[in-house]
Amino acid sequence: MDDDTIAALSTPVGIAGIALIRVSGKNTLGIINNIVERIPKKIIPKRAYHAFIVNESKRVDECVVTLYKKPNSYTGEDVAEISIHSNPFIIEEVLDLILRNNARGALPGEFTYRAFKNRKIDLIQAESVNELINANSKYYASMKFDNLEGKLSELIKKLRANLIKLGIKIETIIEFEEDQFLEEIDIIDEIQKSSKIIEKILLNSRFTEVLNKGLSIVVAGKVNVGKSSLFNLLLMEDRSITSHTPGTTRDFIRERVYINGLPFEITDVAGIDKVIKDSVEQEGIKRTYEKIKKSDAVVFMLDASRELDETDLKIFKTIKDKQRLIVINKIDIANRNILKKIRSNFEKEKIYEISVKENINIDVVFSFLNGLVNNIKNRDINFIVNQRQKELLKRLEGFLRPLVKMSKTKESNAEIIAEEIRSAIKVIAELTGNISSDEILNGIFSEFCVGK
Amino acid sequence: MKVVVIGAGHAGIEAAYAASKMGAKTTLVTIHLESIAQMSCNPSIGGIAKGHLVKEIDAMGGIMARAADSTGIHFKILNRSKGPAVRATRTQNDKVKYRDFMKNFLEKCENLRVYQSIVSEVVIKNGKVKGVRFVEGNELMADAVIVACGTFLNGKIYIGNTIYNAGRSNEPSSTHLAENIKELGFKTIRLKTGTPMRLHSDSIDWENFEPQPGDDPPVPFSIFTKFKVKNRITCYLGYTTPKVKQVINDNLDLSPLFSGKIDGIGPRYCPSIEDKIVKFPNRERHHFYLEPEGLNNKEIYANGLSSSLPVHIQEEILKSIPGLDKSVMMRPAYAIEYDAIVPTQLNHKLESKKIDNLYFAGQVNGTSGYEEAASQGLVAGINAVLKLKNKDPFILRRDEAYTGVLIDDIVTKGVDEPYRLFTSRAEFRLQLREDNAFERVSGYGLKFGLLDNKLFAKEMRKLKKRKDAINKLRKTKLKFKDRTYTLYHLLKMPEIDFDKLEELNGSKILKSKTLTDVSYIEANVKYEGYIKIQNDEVKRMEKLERIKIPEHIDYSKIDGLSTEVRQKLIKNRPLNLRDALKISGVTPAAINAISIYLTLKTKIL
Repeated sequence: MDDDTIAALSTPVGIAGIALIRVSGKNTLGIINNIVERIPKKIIPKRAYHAFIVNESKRVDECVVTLYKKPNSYTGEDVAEISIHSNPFIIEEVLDLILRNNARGALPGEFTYRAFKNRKIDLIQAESVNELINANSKYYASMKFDNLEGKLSELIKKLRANLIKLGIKIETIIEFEEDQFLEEIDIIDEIQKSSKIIEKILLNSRFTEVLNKGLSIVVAGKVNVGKSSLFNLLLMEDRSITSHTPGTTRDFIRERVYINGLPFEITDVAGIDKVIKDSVEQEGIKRTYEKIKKSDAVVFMLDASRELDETDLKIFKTIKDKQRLIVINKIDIANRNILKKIRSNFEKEKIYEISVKENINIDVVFSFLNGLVNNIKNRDINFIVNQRQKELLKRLEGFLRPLVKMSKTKESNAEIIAEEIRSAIKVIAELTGNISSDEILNGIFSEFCVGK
Repeated sequence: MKVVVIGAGHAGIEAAYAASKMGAKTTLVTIHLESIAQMSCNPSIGGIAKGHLVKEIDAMGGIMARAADSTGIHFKILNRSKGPAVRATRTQNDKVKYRDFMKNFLEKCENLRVYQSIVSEVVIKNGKVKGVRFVEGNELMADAVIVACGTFLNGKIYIGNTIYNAGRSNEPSSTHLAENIKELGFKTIRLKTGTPMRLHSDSIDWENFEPQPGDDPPVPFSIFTKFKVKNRITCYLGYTTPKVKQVINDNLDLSPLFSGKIDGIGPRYCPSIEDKIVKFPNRERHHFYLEPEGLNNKEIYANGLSSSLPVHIQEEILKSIPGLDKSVMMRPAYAIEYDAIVPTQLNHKLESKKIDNLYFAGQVNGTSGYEEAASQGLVAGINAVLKLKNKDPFILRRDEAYTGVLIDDIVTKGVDEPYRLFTSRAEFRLQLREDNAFERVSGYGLKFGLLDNKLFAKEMRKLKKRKDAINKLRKTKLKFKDRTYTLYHLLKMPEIDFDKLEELNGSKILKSKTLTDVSYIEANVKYEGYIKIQNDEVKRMEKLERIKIPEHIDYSKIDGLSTEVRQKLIKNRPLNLRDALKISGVTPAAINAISIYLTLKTKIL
């Protein structure tokens, strides 16, 4: 378990300007030599080198690499720390590149675990390792798919079943040559079925995107409805703001906020008014509507002190298909008739009355955001698993892809195809548990009339 | 140093031979001298995975392969068109000659006495073997006893409603020994197997069947064999008809398998014809092979038609198959139920965990097949003597030999049906080949004195020739499709095999070549990358195996195990992390969690 090389992103995604990837294990130096350009052959440990990451002779990013030789490193193994730009796409590409060079994604806490095993940390520190393991338990528990409903786990189960079928078929071909129905066995079809499932999961897995960019929430409403106040309130509630990204135009301001461990990107769009004076403003409003369209969810604010107007209705129209929270602000200075009118206009909607200024009923906004987080968690388990799942599925795909061609060429490949399928089965086993040879044999006997 | 082996079947023979050759005064007890090495089922040795076992037995100095060659009448390499790892030798044998060969062979062995009697009791004192007692009342003192009594423990034969006690057709079963083994506290499991009818050759209309000739040229099994083996008979392939299906369906209630009379669990890979018809109702026909049982013998073994139906129904089945409709049955098919000991009561030496110097080998351990039995016999025989000589035990690893896979499987997991070896049971299939059996295990044969120096040296020269050829491939370059490759590189391509390579090369790479040479070279070149990965895996498994799990570990204290995995671990109680990982449904992550827990526990305490 411990003699392979592990790699992981050590900094949180997307927050800082620099991302640090840590690699540990005996292939570390080999990986650096393979993927870093402009670094001397003889790397002096603990010295930072400015160099470039290359993928198929194309430069991916510039980087700073520091090598620590065993045992003088955190884990006690050869360790490399690679700093790159914190762009989610670059991070993904570099991680992929490392994993393809004979490493695997580290389990949570695994670096520390290795440090402990190699006696780099002492008994007192072991306590903290224990805590880490407890933290891991959440991760391991989430590895158990059986109790999880939802599409992903269903697909992974299906994939597992499919791979077992594939194993059954190829093993039958090998073990029962003299049984007279082998020509009926089609493995290509089965390989393609599995590939399709993987493709589907990878496509459907919007998770990384959410992880990288945060859930995008737009606070929308007409001018002076109180958007900015709500926006500021949300930011104040959350003390973990780590970056401040001003909007690229003067039309909106974005902030990243962490709620329940998941990033949100909350956008305060420019107020929308029906009286449009100049073309610059017109352009701004167009962008605001676009922003709403692209968002994951919208908090739509109405004004309890002013008449409902065309702008309100227009905004409502654009958010009709969105996940949304509709609030009537300024309930402290509300006009009863207006309130009634608004309610009758949005009869089918659930509308909450709040006051940002007086801090009335603000909880509804937080529970809305929490709900979004929970939805994500339910849908895609948690993101650590997901990155790993993605890595495993990509590896799995790597085993399956060449098989179609191999199975078409010649029968003499049967035991090699079987070997590739076994490797694929081992990968899925990391997600769903070991598949024993008995399970395959049982399948053979129940599916085929073998034996004399 | 005295050893007694009970039972002179395929396991007992190898055990007794190995023990005597290693210097123990050995007595091999058989119920009936004429049926030493009886092939009570099919008249053949080897097959996929089984051929691999036979090659291993041979490379360690066992007898089976030599006997198969000497009495072989039909030789075939199975999976020939597939890769070297799964190619396997099989012979059809003259059953009478096979018995004679073995009897003569054993009679000539130094230190070995073959003795006809029935053992009624293994004499035990203070948890140690003292000898055996015979039904006649006399006793024989021994330092070690190997039980290799096959299906003879409480054997019961079923043909329709007829049930009688027997170890094999018309031979008495050993009920005393069965009682005794239970008294000694061994847990047993009831198993079942069956054998098809034998037909008179002259009564079969052969025109109706597809000939299945042996290989040309035939390839022998054994490194001991110096003569040219020859194909002397042809086997035939046939199919059942819809009428057969109907006959069986109409008479299912007469089958003790379906009427519930037989509780024993039968092997799924060797189903009776009624099993096949019930389990696969959509199949209109099932194939079977007709295999001659010998040269001076008219009996034809109807491979694929085993049954426990009454004789008159068996006859009706035959009448429903064109070509067999006028056939004359010489022996009916039957099912046999017997006791096997639960093999998890043994260690990897095949010695009882409880009683010192008491070994079990072969079908009595819940396996099936002559080859599976023989390989266990060899291991038990060797270990019995090693222990008496105070030497390290002989345990083959899973990545080293199919014998190792087989023994490890049965003693760690137990059996729930008669256990047969399959190549898919081996994690390291590409390494465990017939072509490298010599390289893998002959060192042991030499070390234990079962293989003589001269033969070993001769085979080493052959091995060197193969290795030299591989080196030559690395050095020789050739233009192919406008590019220059080494022959080594070319042979790696899926579409190029050794013959094709020689053709491209324009001249022979090996002056004379055997199938073993070709397979060995192809495997070492084509599998190189896979074998590297597997070797890493072997190392990892060894590491996991070294991490022992304490017997009374509290799995509920380990964070990060799912309830399902926890339950499986509690049920299976693996002894080390490798065994834990082998359990179906256990994830590598769970193994990690246990490993972390164990490390913390030992380091902190």
